[in-house]
Amino acid sequence: MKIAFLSESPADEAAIRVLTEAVLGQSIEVHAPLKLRARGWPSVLNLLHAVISSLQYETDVDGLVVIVDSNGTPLHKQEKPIPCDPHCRLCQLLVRRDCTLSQLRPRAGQASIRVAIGLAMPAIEAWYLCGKYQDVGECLSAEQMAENRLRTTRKRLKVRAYGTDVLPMQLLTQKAVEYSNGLAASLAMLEARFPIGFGGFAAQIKSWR
Amino acid sequence: MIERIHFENFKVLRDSTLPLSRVTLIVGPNGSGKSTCLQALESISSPGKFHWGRLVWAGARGDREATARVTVHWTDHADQRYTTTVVWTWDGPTALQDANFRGERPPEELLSVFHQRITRFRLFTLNASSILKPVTLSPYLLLSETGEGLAGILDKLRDQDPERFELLNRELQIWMPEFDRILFETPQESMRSFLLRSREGQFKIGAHDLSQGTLLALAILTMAYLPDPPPIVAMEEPDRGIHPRLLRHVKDAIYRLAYPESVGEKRDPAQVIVTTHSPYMLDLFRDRPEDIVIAEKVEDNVQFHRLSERKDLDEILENIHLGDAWYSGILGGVPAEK
Repeated sequence: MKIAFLSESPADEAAIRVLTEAVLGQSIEVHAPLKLRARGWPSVLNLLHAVISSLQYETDVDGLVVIVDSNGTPLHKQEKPIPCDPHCRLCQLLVRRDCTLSQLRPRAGQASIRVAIGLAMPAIEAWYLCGKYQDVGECLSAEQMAENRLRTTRKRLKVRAYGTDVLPMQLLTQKAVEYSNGLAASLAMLEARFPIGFGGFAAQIKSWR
Repeated sequence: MIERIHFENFKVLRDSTLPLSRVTLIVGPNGSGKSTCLQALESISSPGKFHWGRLVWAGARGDREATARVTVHWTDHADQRYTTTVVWTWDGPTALQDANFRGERPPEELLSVFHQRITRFRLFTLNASSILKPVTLSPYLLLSETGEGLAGILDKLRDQDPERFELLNRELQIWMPEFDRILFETPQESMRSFLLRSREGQFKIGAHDLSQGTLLALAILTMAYLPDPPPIVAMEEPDRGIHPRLLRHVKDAIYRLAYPESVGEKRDPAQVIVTTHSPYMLDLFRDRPEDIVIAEKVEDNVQFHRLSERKDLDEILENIHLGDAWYSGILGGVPAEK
């Protein structure tokens, strides 16, 4: 299966690749010619339509994986209709994805591209630290946010995960892969602690098997 | 560490205070005093090199009683606060005036360390045509303001710190995967120039045939791997000529200089001050608003403020890039329009 990744950094991409393979249960071929990179959340949302279209018409990629950090925005509420909250990043991405997919022309000899989207709350480092700290988890972060006392901030998570918040990208990527390799063996725990942002993403990926 | 610098009648900085961190990225319109701040540090490091007529605010040059003054507020390892002031009068600059918070002269050993740090201050405005020049080898070679001497610096690193040179080569492969190694040649006796070897085909590409961006990036990368970098480093627009995607590495190099402990290095941290006009560069500092200073022209003065002082920053940045927010003008630090 040939997959492309749209993420905020090479470190995130390396980690997400490991996790995607673990969820799929098979090795994947990473689509390289289009070296996708977003400059952060606003770019991911703005680029999504163009990226999906390019992959559909210009490549033979089977699936696109997109992961973003929630970074202070609310947790997606699965029980509510989309958009559950105007600030919910997952809703914004899902709306744009569904709109784009509905407009795509079919491609010859291959099924249309599939797109899986995940949301790391508040940042992907929270996934890395899953099981290592009791105060790391989607529901806990959402509760703290609702009470306006989010303690597990992005910066704090980075310091916990890497010992510093100024680690160079090369070392950041190494660490991201190390953490993800560890998580690949405990996906059930990650799905339980992050049922919406990771659990929902994993369900989408499993449907690609 | 220098915590802040106060300027009085120093060129365009009539009455301004620049707050500093271990890393400080200054953004602002042309003529807002960004480069002047860096020159001020240079002028403190060697006050005698600069004449009153060049430094005092243009509107005061007709008045021989007018002075230009720079006061550096700094801390020692125990976070005790001190100041060092230089005043330029028509007759010439005063000697450095040092004081602790009670106005007393600090201990001599401490002053000696600080004055040494200030004297070793280096300002870099890198220029590709300087970087590529062959150099005459010398044990006292320093990288010049424009990057001249890089071949000698690399040669010295290879000979005196081979492990560090290997790490530099490895990082070169990450920054520019088309190359795998820095090589050297001797164009004339006692001269050295550098080449980069291509990964594909192992071709040796002379410095003259490398792109401007490659040369500029190599100079910045090398600075980050120096075993004993200047304790205070200023860089004018290190993003210039470099692809926006490579700027992440430039940022890493800056933080490597300032936070050596984050990569397991034992040397003293450098304090790094950087200017930029690049929204892409600014984007990369989004998670460290305390390291960003916005320079703003206000009538005939300049004001500096840390981005982290903006109470509404999280709301502003919820759905837009920091660089776009700055470009739009909502953060200040943009050119005036008629």
